[in-house]
Amino acid sequence: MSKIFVEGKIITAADFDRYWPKPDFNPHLKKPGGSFIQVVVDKAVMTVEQALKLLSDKSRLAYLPLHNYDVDYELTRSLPAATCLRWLVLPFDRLSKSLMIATANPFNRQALIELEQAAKQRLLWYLRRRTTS
Amino acid sequence: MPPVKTFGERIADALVEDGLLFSKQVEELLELQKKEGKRLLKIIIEKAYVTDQDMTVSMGRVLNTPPINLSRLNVQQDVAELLPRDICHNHKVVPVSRLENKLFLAMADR
Repeated sequence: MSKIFVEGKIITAADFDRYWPKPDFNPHLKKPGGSFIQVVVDKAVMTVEQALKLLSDKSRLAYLPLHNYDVDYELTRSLPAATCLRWLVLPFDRLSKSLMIATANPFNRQALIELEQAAKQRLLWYLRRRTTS
Repeated sequence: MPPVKTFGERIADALVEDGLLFSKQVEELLELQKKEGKRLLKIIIEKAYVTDQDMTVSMGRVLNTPPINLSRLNVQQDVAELLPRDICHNHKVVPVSRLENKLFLAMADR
């Protein structure tokens, strides 16, 4: 993310550090963690569409509007809530032996590691807008 | 240098990796392909060794194109209208979402 936003001269390194949310490692997390993209949007650096397009271009992930998707909440509930809330990832469907996961940060390796350990299935990643669902 | 694998062989490898097809079945399919001269993918489908979903996911992986379950997605009308209906029908594509000037399409391999 730093490479995209700082090296891409969208924000300064100091702003990046200020905007980057500190993850809460409480294993019983009940509220979603902070979203860097949301801060960037709130600070009027860019619109949410511009930010997501940039992330989609860099990560080559497809953008899926989950507010129009019939999410499989049973699947969502089957994976650790703290991981999903901390990293703003949402397991939303399964196809064949793979789980479909939506993320607001496609470069979050920690989320990938935690979900792979929990799911023990192949994960397919999609870009999403931040929501609290 | 090992021989370059065909698209069908790469899909078959992906299916084996995911435990959806046994290596022995692939050997059998390759033998059949030699005999009948058909495409490997066609034979896999004819034999019904895997489901359509298994095939879609594996093809997506090989092509680096994520699969989508369109039956669960309600495409917004303004997005759906971005492509002429006849183009969608002729090429079996559906606009799924949009970010600025970037349109995401779902496409069937049929």
